[in-house]
Amino acid sequence: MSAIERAVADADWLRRSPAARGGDGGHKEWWHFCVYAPGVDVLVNFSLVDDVRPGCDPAREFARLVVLVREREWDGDVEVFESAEVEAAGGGLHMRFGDNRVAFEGGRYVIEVRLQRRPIAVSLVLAPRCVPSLANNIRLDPGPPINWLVLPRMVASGTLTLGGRTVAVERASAYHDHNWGHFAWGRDFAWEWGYGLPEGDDANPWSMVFVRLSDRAHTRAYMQALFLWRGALQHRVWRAADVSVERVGLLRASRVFKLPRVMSLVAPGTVTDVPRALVVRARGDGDEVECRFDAEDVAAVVIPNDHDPGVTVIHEVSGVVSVTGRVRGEALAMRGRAIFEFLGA
Amino acid sequence: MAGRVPFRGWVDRGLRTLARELPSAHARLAAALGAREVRIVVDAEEAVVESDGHRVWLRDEASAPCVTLATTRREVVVLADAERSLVESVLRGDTVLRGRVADLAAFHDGLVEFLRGAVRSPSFPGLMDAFRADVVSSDPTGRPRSDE
Repeated sequence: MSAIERAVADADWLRRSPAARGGDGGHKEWWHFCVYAPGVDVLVNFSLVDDVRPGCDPAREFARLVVLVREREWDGDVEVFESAEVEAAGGGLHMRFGDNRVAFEGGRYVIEVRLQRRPIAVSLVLAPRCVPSLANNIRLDPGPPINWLVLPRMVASGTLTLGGRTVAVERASAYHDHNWGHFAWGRDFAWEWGYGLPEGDDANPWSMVFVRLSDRAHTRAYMQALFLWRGALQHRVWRAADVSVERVGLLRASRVFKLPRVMSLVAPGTVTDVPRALVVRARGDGDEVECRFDAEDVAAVVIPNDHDPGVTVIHEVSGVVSVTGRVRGEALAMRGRAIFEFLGA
Repeated sequence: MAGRVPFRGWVDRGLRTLARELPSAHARLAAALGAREVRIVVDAEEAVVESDGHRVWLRDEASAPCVTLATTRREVVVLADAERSLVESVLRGDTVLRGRVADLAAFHDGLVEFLRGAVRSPSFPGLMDAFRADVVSSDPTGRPRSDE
C-alpha cells in the first residue's frame, strides 16, 4: 500500500453515531463523491443520519443514497434503506445499502450503485492521487462541531449506465469528502464548498478546496479557508482574513431539479441565492491565488429541518472552476469542471 | 377508474396519521385552513375536509365547501414525483381549483403545512408508495408519466 493509500485508510474510516450505544443522537455522516466523465457529471453520496423526529427511537437512523447525474439535464434519485439492508461498521471503510456499496479496498474506492426507480447505474473505481486533509472540531454556531476529510484529487475508471446507454469512464477527474458530527438541519449555518482540479491534464500538479462556513444570512463567517495541493501533498493553506470571497450576480435557473422529488411540492420555485460566479482570492506572505467558479446549472437536495417546519436546501451547482496564482515563487494555473455546494434556507 | 386504494380512505388515513405522528403539523394545518370546508374530487371519488382552526377531519359529504379541487389519481402521483409543479398542473387544466382568492390562499397554506408534515412522517412513505403502486398498476402505460 502506498503512502497515499495508507493515509486514506488511516483517516477515512466511518465514525458512526454513538446513539446506538446510548450516546447523543443527532449524528450525521456521509461519504460524498463527484466524478467528471466525458459530458457527464456524477455525484454519489452515501449518508447515515440519526432519526431525530419526536417519538422516534433515537438509535434509529436513515441510510440514504443520493445520486445526481448531469448530462444536458439532471437526473437522479434519493433512496432510503431499512436497517436490515445496511452494513456500515464504525472504524470500517465500507458501506452497503441494499445492493449498493462503496468501499475503500486495495487502495481504491469502489462504488457500485444501481438506482431502483431511475435508469442509472454507477460502477467505478477511484484511485486517490493526493493525501487527504482532515479537519476536526470545526465550530459552526454554539452547537457541537463538525468534522471533515477532503480528498480533492482522484482518477476514476469504470462505467456509467444512463437510460440504457453504457458510458465508459477512463481516467476521469474525481473528488471525495467525508463529513460527520452532531448538527441539526435548520441551525444558523450555511456553507459554500467547492474544489478545483485540472481536467484532462494529469501533468498539472495542482488541486484545491475552498470552504466557507457562515450564518444563514451570509453576514458572519464562522470560518473560511482555501487549501492547495501540489501533487500528492498539501502545499499551502490560507485562512480567515487571508481569504476574501465575492459573490457575483445570481444564477437564474429556468428549472431546478430537486431531490427527493416530492420535496418540490414543499419547496417549489426556481429562486435560489446561488451566485452566477464565485470568486475567491487568497493572499499572504507573498503568495496569492484567485479561484473563479462560473455556475452553469443547479440541482437541489431539499432536507426537512430537524426542529422546525422549514427546509434546508443543498444546492449542487455544476460549473467550471479556473484557478491562477503564484505560490512560493511558482506560477499555478488549472481549469476543470466542478460541483460547488451552496447550502442555505 | 377507481383503484384498489379508495381515495377518501387514503386522505382519512393521511390526516389521522399526521395527527398521531406529528400533532404539531396537524395543528399548523388546521390553523392555516381556519374554519373552512374543502372538497377534493379525484376521478370519481370525493373527500371533504373540514377544519375549525384547531383540528381537521373528514366529513361524510359536502355541506358548504369554500374551495373545490378536482384532479385525477394519476395527477396526484405526477405531482408527488415532480413531473410538473402544482402551478403547471393548474395552468394545464389537469388540476382545477375553485374558490375565492382568500380561501384558495388559505387552502394553499394548509396544503403546504400538510406536506411539511407528510415528509417528516414515518408512515407517509408507505401510504404514498401504496397509492403510487395502485395508480401505476391501473395505468395502461405502466407508469404515471405526463403526456408530454
